[in-house]
Amino acid sequence: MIVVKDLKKDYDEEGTVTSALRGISFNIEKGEFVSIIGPSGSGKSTLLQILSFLDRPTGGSYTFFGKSIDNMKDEELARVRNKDMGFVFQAFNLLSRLTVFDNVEIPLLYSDLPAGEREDRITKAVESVGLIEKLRTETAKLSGGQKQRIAIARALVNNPNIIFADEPTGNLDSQSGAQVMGILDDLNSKGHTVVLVTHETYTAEFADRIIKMRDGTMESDTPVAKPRRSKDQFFK
Amino acid sequence: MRLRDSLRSATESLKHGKTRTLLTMLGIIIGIASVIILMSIGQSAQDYILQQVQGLGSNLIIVIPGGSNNGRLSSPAQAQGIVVTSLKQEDVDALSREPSISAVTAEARGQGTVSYGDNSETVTYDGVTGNFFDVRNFVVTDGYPFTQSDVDAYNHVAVIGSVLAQTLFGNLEPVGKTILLANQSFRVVGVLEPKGTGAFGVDQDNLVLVPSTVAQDQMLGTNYFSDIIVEANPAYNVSFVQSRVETILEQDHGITNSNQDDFTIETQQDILSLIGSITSVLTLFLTAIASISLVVGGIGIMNIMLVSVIERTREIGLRKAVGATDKDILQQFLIESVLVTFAGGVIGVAVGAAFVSAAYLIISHFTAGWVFAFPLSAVIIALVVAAGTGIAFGIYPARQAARKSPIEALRYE
Repeated sequence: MIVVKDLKKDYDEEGTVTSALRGISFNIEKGEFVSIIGPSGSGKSTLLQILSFLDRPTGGSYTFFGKSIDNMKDEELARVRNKDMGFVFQAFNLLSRLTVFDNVEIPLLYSDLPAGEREDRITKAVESVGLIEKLRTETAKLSGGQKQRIAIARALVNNPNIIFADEPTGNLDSQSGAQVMGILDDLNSKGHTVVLVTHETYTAEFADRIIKMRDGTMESDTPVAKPRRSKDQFFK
Repeated sequence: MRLRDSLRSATESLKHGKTRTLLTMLGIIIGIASVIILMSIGQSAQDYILQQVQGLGSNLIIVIPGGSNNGRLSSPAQAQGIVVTSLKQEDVDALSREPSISAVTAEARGQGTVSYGDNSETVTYDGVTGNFFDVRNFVVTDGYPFTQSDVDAYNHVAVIGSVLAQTLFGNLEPVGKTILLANQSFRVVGVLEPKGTGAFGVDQDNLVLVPSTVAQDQMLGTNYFSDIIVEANPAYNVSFVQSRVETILEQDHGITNSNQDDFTIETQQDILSLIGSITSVLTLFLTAIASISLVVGGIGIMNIMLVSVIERTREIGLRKAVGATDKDILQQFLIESVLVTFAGGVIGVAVGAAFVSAAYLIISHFTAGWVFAFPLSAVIIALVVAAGTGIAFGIYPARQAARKSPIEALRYE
C-alpha cells in the first residue's frame, strides 16, 4: 500500500539547509497499525506529513497504491486525501462555530457524494464513536475527549483506506486517551490501516509495528509482541 | 465543492459574526442606497423637466433671435446678455402666409412691478398676439383670454397667472379688477390655470399676459419680439415646416448663407433631447460621486476578509487536509465576500427605496407635477455593482486563503 525508499526532506531557509528526513525506507501493508515514535525533532511529524500527502519529499520515492507522488498534481493529492485518507490531529481542529454534524460533514463537502447519502454516513460515523446524542450540538460545548472522538468520526466519514493520527491523545486525560485509542484499535480491526505518530511508548504499543525515529533517520522498525496492548491496558 | 455547499458554508460563517458582517455591509449599504437615491431622483427630475417642455406641444417650432453655429438653443449673443432685435412683425406676417404653418404667435417679454392696492410683485410680463392662448395651450379658467381685436385696438387688458392672482387679490375675484403694471393700468380679464415653471425658466403661474401692441409700443418702446412661436400645420412634417421657417426668415432678412442666420430655430424635440442629455450627464456625474462610497465600502470588505482569512488559517489548513483544493478555498471566500456585498446591495436598495419614497412625498408637496421614479435599471445596476464589488475586493483575500500551505495553516497558532 505504502512504499517509501530513501525518503528525504530538506528545508532551505535563507540558504541554510536543514535535513528533517535523511533517507527513510519502509513499507506499510493494507490493514496494518503502525506507530511512528521518536523525540521532538526526530522527523516523525515530517514523515507523517509526507505520508499523508500534505507535503512532498525533496528526495527518494513514495508510492501510494502503486502510484508515485512525483507524478501527481496538487489537485490529485487533494482528491486522494479526500477519498483514501482520514486525519486525526492533536489539536482536534474542529470548527467550534459548527455543530458535530457540520464538522463531520466537512470532508464530504469535497466529495461527489449526494446529499442524502451524506447524512447517512455522518450519522453512522458519529454513532461509531458513541456520540450520536451530540449530533446537533456545537462542538465548542464538548469535552476534549468528545472533541477527539468527533474528529475521528470526521476522519472516518469518507470510509478511508488509511487513517493518519498525529498525537491524538496528546491533549487528553488518560481516560479519554484510552477511549480514543480503543476507537482507533477497533477501526484497525475493521480493516482500516492506521498510522499513528506519538512520543508516548505505551500509546505506540497499540500498533502491530513501531517505527522509531531519531535525527531524521529510522532507528528501528520493530513488530509489537502479540497480543498487542488494548485500551484496558492503556493506564498500565 | 458544490456551489450550494459553498453558499451554505459562507452563510454559516457570516451568521457566526453577525455584528461584524453587518458593520462590513454598512459601507456597501450606504453606497448602494446613495446610487439608488441619486439615480431615482435624477430620473424624477428629468421626467419632470421633460414633462414641462412637452407642455409646449409637439408641433411647435420656436424661433429665437440671434444665430447659433451649432443649431442649439445656446444662442451666443443672448448668452452674453446682448439684446438681439432680429425678429419683427414682418416676420410674423410672412410666416403667417405659409400654408405649412397653421398659426404664428410672438412674445415681447419685459419685467416690471405689478400691483393691486397694497399688494405688489415683480413679474415677467409677456406682450402676446391674440392666438397665443390657443397656440401655447394656455387655458383661462376664470374670465376669458383677450383676442386679436384687443391686441389691434391697444386695449389695456391682462390675463394673469394663478399664483399672482392669489398674491394680488387673495380671496377677491380678480376678473374685472384693475391692476397697475409698469405704471400703466390694465383690466384683468382672465386667470390662467396653474402650470408651474415652463421652458426658459419662466414661472407661468406668476406671469402677466398683455396685448403685444401695448407691450411693444407703450411699455417697452421696441419693435422686436423675444421669440416667435410657430404651430406646424398637422398635414406637414415638423422638420419640413422647420426648413420652411428657416427659408422664409432668411428671405425676409436677406440672408443667403445659412451660417449667418440671425435667428435660431428650435423644435420641441431639440429642446427635449438637449435637456435629456444635460440631466442624464448630471445624474451620471452625481452617481459617479456616490460610487466613491462603494469603493470605500469595498476596501472595508477587503480589510475584513483579510482579517477573516488570518483568523481562519487553521480552518483553511483543515479543509485542505481533508480534500479541499485551492479552487474550493478560493470559491468559498469569494462567495462569502459576494454574499456580504450582495446582501448589502439588497438592503441598500430597500433603504434607497424608502428614501426615494420619502423624497417623493416631500418634493411633490411643494412641486406640482413631480413624478415618482424608481427605475428598475437602477436596481439591477446596483445589485450587479454590489456583487461586482464583492468579487473585485474579495478576490485578493480569497487568493491569499487559497495559496496557504496546509501544513503551515494547520500549525498556525
